[in-house]
Amino acid sequence: MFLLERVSDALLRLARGELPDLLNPPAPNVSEEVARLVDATNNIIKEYANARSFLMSLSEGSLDVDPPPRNFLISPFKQLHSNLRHLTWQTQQVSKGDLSQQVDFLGDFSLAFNSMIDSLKEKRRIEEALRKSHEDLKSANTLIMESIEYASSI
Amino acid sequence: MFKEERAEYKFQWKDLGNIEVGRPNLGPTTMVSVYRLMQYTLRDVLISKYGVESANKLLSEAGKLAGTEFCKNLLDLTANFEAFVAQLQETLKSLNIGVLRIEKADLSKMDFVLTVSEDLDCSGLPLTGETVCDYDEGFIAGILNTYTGKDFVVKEIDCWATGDRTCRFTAGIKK
Repeated sequence: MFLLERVSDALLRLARGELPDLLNPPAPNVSEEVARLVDATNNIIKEYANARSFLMSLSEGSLDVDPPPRNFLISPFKQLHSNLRHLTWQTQQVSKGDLSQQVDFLGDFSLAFNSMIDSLKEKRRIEEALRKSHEDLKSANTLIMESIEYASSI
Repeated sequence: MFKEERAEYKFQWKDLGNIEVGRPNLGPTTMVSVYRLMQYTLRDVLISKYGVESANKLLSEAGKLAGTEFCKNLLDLTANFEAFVAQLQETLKSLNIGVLRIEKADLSKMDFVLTVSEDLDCSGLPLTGETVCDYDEGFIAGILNTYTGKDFVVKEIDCWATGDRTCRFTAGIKK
């Protein structure tokens, strides 16, 4: 297969989501432009290979896998990965009873998360009010019982 | 006061002046590009005069001083960690400095991974493959040092300029 055909084949495979083998270095007699094209194509193949393994982990929810550094192909996915890590931390905080956190600027996630935090805060407030009201009732009841006891002793 | 020789830092929060009185018409804010104009021209001169490594150190050291004063003057140092993070996030957001998010926080080891999105220093810069938030590294270290009383090392591992869209920093106690 001619060199340009191999380049074209590699690019088409990448466009289909397949991972082509790296192209062999061109013979010394090819033009500088073609050599640069082969080099650039190999760079894309390497970046795609790194990106693919990270994206597979991300799709499985494995957030411990770090994104490949200096990979410009998948910048928005790196941002998504970072946001998911942050949401995981936030959720862990909530499970520990920390309701002081808010999620900012993450679209629907922010709305849902912040609404959940507000609901939990309201629940905590109601529980506290109920507990206090119960304590007050208990104190009032004790007072009444003491009064009755005192009255009956007269 | 601003121009006297010194062997140790003298900056105080009040050196920022009374902006309300001084800028009754233009107000307390400016554009991000103006801030960056100052930082990147300063960086350019520092690199030209002292080299990349020294310039980075100077920017980081200035950031650390800023983070220390920022923490002392704008944050409640008596808050527990969770409340401290929440107020830090809120303060950075309200001052349009950036969107702070915690990815990991191990309080027993004092190890943290945090990100800053829409960062004042770098978001939107050309993708050069270099991390550029040396000032932020120092700023975060200054805040953590002041809050915990321990000496922190903060390292930027991902940056807008490295194609990561959000800046990621690791922070741990200096060994």
